[in-house]
Amino acid sequence: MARNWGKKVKQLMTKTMDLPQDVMMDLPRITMIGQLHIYIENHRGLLAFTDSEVRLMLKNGQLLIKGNAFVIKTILPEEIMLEGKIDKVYFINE
Amino acid sequence: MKNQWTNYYTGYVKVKAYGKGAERLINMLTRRGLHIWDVKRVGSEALIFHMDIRDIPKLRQVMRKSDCKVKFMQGKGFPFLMKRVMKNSGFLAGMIAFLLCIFVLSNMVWGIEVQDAKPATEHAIRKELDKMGVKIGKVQFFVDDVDTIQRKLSDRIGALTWVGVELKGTTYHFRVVEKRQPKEVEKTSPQNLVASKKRSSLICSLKKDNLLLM
Repeated sequence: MARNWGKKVKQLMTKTMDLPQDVMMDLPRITMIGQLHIYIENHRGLLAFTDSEVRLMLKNGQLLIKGNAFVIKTILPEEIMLEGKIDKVYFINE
Repeated sequence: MKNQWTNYYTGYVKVKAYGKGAERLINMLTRRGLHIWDVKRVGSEALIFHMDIRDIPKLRQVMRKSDCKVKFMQGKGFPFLMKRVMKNSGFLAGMIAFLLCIFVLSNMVWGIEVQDAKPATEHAIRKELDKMGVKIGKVQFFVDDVDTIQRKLSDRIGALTWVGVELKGTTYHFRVVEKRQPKEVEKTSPQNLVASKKRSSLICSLKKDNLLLM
């Protein structure tokens, strides 16, 4: 109950004060350059990594990226830069 | 994001991690603040990634907790390049020797040309230059500079009005202007002046103060 209250207050704050939502609510910020690059901020770790599939942990849920010839160009605790040919990006809510 | 161009100078390694949970290893490493890049999957249970050599102690700490194994595949960057250069030091020595050769040979005197001089003066100039040490095969550092050569030559050789010394690359050019001395007048004893025709008068100013009329 208390957590829900907190969430609601946060949402209200972001709406009324016009703050960026990715900062306030720990959402991922995803930047794509065509199909070549995808740059994800605010992730919570790598779950699976293969040539054709990358699974990232988020604050709630997962992010699944499909494509081929994936190479992680850089990885930092909260940022990841992925290169390859990106076909699909899924949000998986648990 | 971090700028990566310094990685080359500090040196980095290519690491292969194999075993289950290679992704978890990468998470653990990044949470420790290690910088990891170019992660690639090879086969079903192995990852290849690159990391800084300064972070290897941290990698060892993490490896104790992790259940996969790592193998260093290749070292890249400046420190490893230096190591290889030291191993093949012959190449380095050759390169230095080559540069040294070029430097020394391009600073030698390879030619002396004398223009506009009679053979006799040319010979004199060449002899004088030999004495000064300006010879083919001498290094220019140990030879007098152009102005000094010019001064010495015009001092020592009387037959020169002017000599222009010019150093073009490895060759000395001497442009010579010789003295054109008038022929010496024959000296005669005191003598009479005789008119060439009769009755002509001759005014002579033998001395300033007495004018003679004949």
